[in-house]
Amino acid sequence: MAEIKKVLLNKEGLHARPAGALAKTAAGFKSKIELLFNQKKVNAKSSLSLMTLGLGHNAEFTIFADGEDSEQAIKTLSELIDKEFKI
Amino acid sequence: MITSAASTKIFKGTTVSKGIARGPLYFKRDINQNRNFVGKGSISEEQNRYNKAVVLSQTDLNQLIARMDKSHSEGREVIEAHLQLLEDPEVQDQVFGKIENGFSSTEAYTAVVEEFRTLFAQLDDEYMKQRVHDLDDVSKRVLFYIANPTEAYENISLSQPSILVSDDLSPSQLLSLDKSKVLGVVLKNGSTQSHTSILCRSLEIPCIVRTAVDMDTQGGNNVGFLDSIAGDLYLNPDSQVEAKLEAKRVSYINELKLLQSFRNQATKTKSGRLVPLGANISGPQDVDSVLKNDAELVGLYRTEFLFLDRVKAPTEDEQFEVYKKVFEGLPNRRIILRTLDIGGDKVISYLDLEKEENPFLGVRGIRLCLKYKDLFKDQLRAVLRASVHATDLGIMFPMVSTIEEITESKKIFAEVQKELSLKKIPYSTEIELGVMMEVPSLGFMLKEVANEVSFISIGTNDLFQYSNACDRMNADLGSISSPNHPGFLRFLKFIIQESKTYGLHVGVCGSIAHHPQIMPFLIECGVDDLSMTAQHVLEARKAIASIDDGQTNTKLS
Repeated sequence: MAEIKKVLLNKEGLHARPAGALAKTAAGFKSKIELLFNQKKVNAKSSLSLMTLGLGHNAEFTIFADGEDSEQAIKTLSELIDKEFKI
Repeated sequence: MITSAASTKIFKGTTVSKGIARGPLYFKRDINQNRNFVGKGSISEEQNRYNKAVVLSQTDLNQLIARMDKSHSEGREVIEAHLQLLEDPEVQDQVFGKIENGFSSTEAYTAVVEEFRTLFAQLDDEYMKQRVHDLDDVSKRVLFYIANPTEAYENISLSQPSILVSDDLSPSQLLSLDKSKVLGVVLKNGSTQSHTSILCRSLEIPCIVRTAVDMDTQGGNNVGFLDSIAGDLYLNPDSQVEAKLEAKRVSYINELKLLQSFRNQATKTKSGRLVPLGANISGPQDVDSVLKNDAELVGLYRTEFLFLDRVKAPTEDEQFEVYKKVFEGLPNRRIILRTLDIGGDKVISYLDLEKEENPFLGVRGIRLCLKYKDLFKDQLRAVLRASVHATDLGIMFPMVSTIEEITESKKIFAEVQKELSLKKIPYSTEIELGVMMEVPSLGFMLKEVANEVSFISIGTNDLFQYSNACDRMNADLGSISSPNHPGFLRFLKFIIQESKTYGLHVGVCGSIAHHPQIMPFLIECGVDDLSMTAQHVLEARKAIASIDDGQTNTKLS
């Protein structure tokens, strides 16, 4: 089990494209990955669920990963968020 | 049905994408009904039915991508996002769960989509609310295939070039159409922010949305004239209206063609004097528009957006990446980068700015940078590191009011250069320094300014505000806020001429740079270049081509 607190840097918030990139990257890991924002926790492998959180610019949220590759998942997702989803 | 030629009907809508089109109206109706009754099978039968529908939908969308013009990246992105929605694990889990609880595949999928629809409706962001239409687009197809797994999901097919009229149009429907047959799009619903609208703009299809078009009473051979500039759809216009619209259409097309003919050429007056036209930009997102509108330089690169709305200052590396992207995206052009220009009117959590009684006359621009030297140095270091990627870079300091501010800024600039040299980090040694000319009293110090820097850029918006004691944003000021004020114009002339006298390169950035009356005046005064919103460049180039130097009406001043 691993977790990390992040801040969303991209100006437009978690729009379709960044949500898609995040979900796609998360789906590449075996771990169960979830994102917590505003007391709501959703499946981070689902771009639809991520979009329903309405994460705006500067939103603070937490990512949780549970599984054999949880450390690596957290590291990769954290970098993706810092790079503002430019993959 | 309307048969009388005299009964022209006009339907008003909201402009999404500008243009004028004439052609037969094609009324799109929802043709993909679930024609086959679907009973309810066992849990595994229903789950299979759903899985199969998803696979059939994926095949459709993959074929659509394969058929699409390779250069249409926006179109590809939309469909790729739709494919991702089809594969969404959360949707699949919930559908399967509901089927296990006794729902049919249709009921389960409909219910899941409904739940997401409710969640999207609760979002504050208009753009995000619109994403529910992507889900609708995808779900219609899936529901069709659940009910009709052996039939093909029909797309609209236009037999002749037409103006498409519909309640709504999904992105995949638009993209499946042969673009040469879509003269225009008129939607009863829709939104300017939907993917369909975004695609219409990028495909340059005239489009209006939220049009009060009465779909039920129309039919038969209707001819429409779509003037999406005004936001009007004319139904069966009479000959008089038709002639007027046709004239407007022809002149609009000619105007576009004429403007395009000014691409890829230097801006010059009738007598051949070059007046390079620049674009004002705010970051990498504006690079395309600079290229598209053929701006010859970037006269103002505002960097503050990188610093606003965030919890901590951008790091040097982050800034470096952004500046590099802009410089690389705009090769062979002069780029004037303005260092951070913010003040007490902006809330910046990481700077701990004092709330000021009068923020526009307080700690802002270079005054702020000299107070927060680390922030200033980080920016200069990032710009210098990125400078090796620029062809011709200028750096200018905003809101300068004293010569000491210039010498102090230059000292810091030199320190940063020295630090980089010591670390053997490369940077361009040909960067020119300049100042923004915004504070009126500096206009009488140009001899001294010329001893320190090589160029000035007149920021006419702030200069006007400070010299005419007039808040530009105050709508109640009426004509007082017009820059067409003799005293202000004389002041501009004085600044330009003084700059020439002392050998300063002088540019104008600010909204008056493309003002139809003031632009010729600035050119006559001897301004070296002008910078404006990229969208105005071609129009300004065209206007400048007809300026006869020396013949300009000098009555303005």
